[in-house]
Amino acid sequence: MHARAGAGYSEQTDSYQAGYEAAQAALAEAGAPADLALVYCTSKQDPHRLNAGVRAAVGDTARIHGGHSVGAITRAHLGYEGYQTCVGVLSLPGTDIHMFLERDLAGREMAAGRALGERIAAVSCADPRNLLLTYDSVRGRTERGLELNLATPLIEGIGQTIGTWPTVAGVGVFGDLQFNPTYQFFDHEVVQQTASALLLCGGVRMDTIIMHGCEPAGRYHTITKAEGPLVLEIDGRPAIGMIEQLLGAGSNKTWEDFPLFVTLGVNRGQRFGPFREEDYANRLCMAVDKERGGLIMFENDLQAGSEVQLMRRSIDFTYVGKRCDELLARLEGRKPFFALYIDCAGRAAAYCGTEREEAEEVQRIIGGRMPLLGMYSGVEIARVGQQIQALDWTGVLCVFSE
Amino acid sequence: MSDAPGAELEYYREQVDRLAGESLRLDYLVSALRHELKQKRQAFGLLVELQQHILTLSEISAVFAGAVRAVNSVLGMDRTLVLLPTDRAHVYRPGHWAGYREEAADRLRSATFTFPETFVDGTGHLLAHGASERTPLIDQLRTTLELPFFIAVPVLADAGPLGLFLSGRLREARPLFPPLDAGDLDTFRTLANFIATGVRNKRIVVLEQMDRLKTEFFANISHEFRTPITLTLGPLQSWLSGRHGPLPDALAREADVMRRNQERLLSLINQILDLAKLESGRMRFMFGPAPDVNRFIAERVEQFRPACDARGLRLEFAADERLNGADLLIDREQFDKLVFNLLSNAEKFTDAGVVRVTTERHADGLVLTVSDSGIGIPEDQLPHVFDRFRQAEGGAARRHVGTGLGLAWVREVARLHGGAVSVRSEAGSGSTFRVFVPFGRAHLDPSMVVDAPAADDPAGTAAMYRSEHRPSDFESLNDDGEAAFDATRQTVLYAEDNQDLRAYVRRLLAPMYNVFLAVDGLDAQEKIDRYKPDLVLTDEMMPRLTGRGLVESIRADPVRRGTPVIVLTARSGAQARIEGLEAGADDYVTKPFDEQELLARIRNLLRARAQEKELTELNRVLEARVEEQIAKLRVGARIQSDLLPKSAPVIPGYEMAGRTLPAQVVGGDYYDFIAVDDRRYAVCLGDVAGKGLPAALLMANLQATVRGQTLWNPSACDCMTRSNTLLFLSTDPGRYATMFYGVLNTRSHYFSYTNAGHNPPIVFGGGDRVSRLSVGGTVVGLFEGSTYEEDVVHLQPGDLLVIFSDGITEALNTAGDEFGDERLIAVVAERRAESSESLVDGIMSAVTLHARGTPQWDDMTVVVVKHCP
Repeated sequence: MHARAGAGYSEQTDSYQAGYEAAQAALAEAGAPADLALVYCTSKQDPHRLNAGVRAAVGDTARIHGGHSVGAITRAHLGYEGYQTCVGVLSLPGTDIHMFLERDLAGREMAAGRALGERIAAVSCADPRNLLLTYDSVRGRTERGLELNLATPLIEGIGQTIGTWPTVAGVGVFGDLQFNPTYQFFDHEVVQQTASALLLCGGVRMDTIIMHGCEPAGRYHTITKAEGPLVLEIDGRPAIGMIEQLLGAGSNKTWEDFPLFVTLGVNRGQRFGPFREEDYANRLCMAVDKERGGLIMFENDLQAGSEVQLMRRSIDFTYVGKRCDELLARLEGRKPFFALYIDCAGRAAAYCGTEREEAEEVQRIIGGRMPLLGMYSGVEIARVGQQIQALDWTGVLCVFSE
Repeated sequence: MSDAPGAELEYYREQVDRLAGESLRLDYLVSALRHELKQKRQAFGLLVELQQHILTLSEISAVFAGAVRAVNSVLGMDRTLVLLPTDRAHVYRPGHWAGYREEAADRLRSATFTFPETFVDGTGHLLAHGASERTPLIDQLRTTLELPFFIAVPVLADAGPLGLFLSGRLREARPLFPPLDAGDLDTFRTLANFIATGVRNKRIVVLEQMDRLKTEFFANISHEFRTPITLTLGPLQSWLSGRHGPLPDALAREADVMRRNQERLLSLINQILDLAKLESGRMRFMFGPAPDVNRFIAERVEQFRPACDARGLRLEFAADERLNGADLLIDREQFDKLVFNLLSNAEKFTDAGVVRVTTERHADGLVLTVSDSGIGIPEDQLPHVFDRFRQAEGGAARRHVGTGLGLAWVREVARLHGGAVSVRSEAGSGSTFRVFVPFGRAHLDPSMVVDAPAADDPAGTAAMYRSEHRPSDFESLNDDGEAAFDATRQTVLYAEDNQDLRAYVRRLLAPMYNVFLAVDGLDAQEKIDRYKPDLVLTDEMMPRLTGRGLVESIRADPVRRGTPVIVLTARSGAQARIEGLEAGADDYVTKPFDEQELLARIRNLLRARAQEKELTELNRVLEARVEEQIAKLRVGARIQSDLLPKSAPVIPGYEMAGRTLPAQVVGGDYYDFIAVDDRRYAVCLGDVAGKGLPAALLMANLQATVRGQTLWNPSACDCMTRSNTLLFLSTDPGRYATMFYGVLNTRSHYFSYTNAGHNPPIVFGGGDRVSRLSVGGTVVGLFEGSTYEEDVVHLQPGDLLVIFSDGITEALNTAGDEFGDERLIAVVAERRAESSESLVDGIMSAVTLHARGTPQWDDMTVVVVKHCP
């Protein structure tokens, strides 16, 4: 018995129908019953009805894991900010599937991470060990404004208790770019403010690679003052002022243009070595605190002393092909049967101003070889250098092989 | 001199920063430009898509339906609507939309919005973004359409807006969703103009096609009419000539009416056939020399002299003698018709003054001018005066009935003579038509030119195009009707401009009704005031005021608006019928009509109106009675509401809450909390059989009885037994109630209760433990000697007592499923940590959610008692 997989897509506005239709399409492509269904949909769908629709198609025994996404990607479809739904089904004979859920994530990411790590470590898990982390990116809106759950402490918490990390990829789920509350699918439950882990033990192997196509522009700058995700000063100057000065007074850019445009990169490789894409963890500016002159980043890992570089985004997507080839070369003769693409929502053409979708390159290269399931995320998680890292503006490609 | 190393380093740092900034700026610029280019491409793609819609779809509604979807998907809008005009000026309602869930459809369909007048002339627009000024209209649109940021522009056609485009976003957040601005407004204006132009062009093409098809159809059908007309006209003429001997007078009069109308019909058909031939180029002209054109025209002018004299009009003819012997070629038969039509129009449309005909020799041809001092033509209708089937409107209605073919014919004949016709006119001051015919033959088809002049047949032409103008004696029109007036009969007024038809219908109706006549709509208005008819029968197409105008005026008159009206018309087809009925007519009969049908319709309408009057009176009486009943019910509801506890008692260590939702204004459920002393509280919930006022009164009785008995002896079984006896004695046989009654000792936490046929309340204990309180007896009020058992439960901290009426568990949803005990238990189990008040809310919400709007036939009451942990 071999592993089989398929991916289905739907833009039905009736959420039950959307879930059912996408799951049915995935089952048809897989040609085998589902042991696991990965489900992603936008915030326009009713998650309860959608989950019921998927369940009706995949049956009572299949595990369901997934959550919100700004859009959906399969071999033949790509769309976002509508009613996009995608379902991947995997038939995994010989692979043990474990799922863990930690509730009440908001404000206790580190504790939730530790608990998750303990539960994962407690499982007797044969190699290869593969871990897919999912958490709600949006904590909610308070009188202080929008608040996000942070991946960095979550990862740190897991790291404290998990022992040896499995191969890992992760998603901070987003349902739209209005930062509406997010949902996750966890078997029969539709949950919020949780972190969940899908652990696949033995049988299949997941290989991952990051790609962002960003290159540093200019020298290293040092963050000299930060509070949580708020970067207040860079090189001893107010962060907004510093960025404005760098872009130049005549650039016609104001602080209102910074969100999702200013990308800071952290080099986890050699400080003055040759550029290696896989060494850079990108951090995207989510919003601007104009009163305090700070940049609000998607994560809180940029603290005083962090060295960052302003990153230029590539409009040439040839890097995608190269990175995909690198990943496939790592399979060492194993047979790939499914690909999961976790893509930063900001990289979608409508949001970053590119003419084409970079995910179309993934569709072209990977989709031609195996079933592809893709989703648009708020935060991505993958290994960068020696660290498991929360990432922005990054695509994490995961290929499953046996 | 060399710089310090620090300065050099600083120099290079600045250079690197400058270059970094420069490259980022360029990135941003390129990105923005690419984005803009993409948007432009998308907009262009949208226009192409719309073009396809317009070309392939025949209905504007389909174009709009496609457009709203395309705008959302291509321009990245969240919601787009087309608001369509309504019958009310400046009021629009959503007709097409995209981006809404299905549930919103009813709400959208029923919404209306009043837009400023500027939306009609095309200058209006709305641009609602975060910083834009709020207006009542913008607020209404935002709220009703659930669309905070939007643009609205009109899609204008010639006659006003086809609709309004309204499109927008749910959020405004830089940089992804910047505020809608003037650029977006331009895009939507372009879009609206594109649709309007496309629709207009398509309409022109379609209209031209329809026009051609219509002419062909008329020509074909008219040709088929000629044979039967000839076969009826011939014998009629033979009878009237006396060939078969003299006819009786009455028969001769009717035969003459038939002949005249058959001749008129034939004349109209010949005009249609000739025009169709002319336009298709199938009519063969024979142009011959006309050196005597002045004499030729003079003869036609003289034919109109008797008609003009009879109406007191001066008829003048001035000929340019230089035309005698001119090298002018005309088709005498067709040119004759041209002159006839111009003269006929001048005579018809002139009430006083002069009709003047002149000929002039110009350097290159003849100019024939026919002018009059008549009613003239309004400026806006001048461009259409030579169109087929057009007759200028003069105020409220057409002045004279006609086919509208005459001037179209004139234009075609002039054109085929190589010439042209023009008009100058001013409303109220008369009209001047000038026909130019060039000299020579170079402009003519040689195969249609003959050298010898053709013979004239002016009498034949005149006969064929006989004027139907037969002045009526308005004053004497109703002399017969007034003389024969019978107050015991109902009165019918008939408005018709055709004298023959008036006479015919009068003969038909006179045996049953008083019949009065009017010659047109205006005349009918006067006659309605004078004769106060019970029913008005009217022709549709009449001079001065049409039948539709008459109907509208009747409906607008507060005194006469109830008068039934039947429209009698030659126009057939569903559309004509709909238009007539929409104008306010009660019935619509097409010509030719069946006599018996017309009589039956008149009879039915008069009878229906009489019944309607009776019903109106009956309704008035019924409404008064219903109002009276409602007032009583309101009193009952108020009484019932007053009887229910205003609030739950505040008891340390306990929380109590209760609520009732009556299925009708007045329900039969009640609950009560009664303080027995400082430690004991009675809790009861009753459900009286039946609904409405009687049930409420019994409920009030029950409540008073129970309260009294509680204070006398709070023992549950004693209280219930005595209450049953008292109720049995004081209520009608067959009336009863189910009831649960218990007394809580808040110190010992024992709850003693008895259950009189009521749904067993549920005690939620620790863990999943659930028990029912069912000990008691039968219902109260039905049997005199009923007795009741009592039981006691001990409420532990955290225990929860839920008492409910069967309206809760038997609440149905649309599928007919009951809410049921299981759902109730599940809701309580899930929310048992909440306060009693919140739990009551939760139960009621769950039941309401389950019912999903299904009407409920039973009251719903729930009481919760919680021993706080």
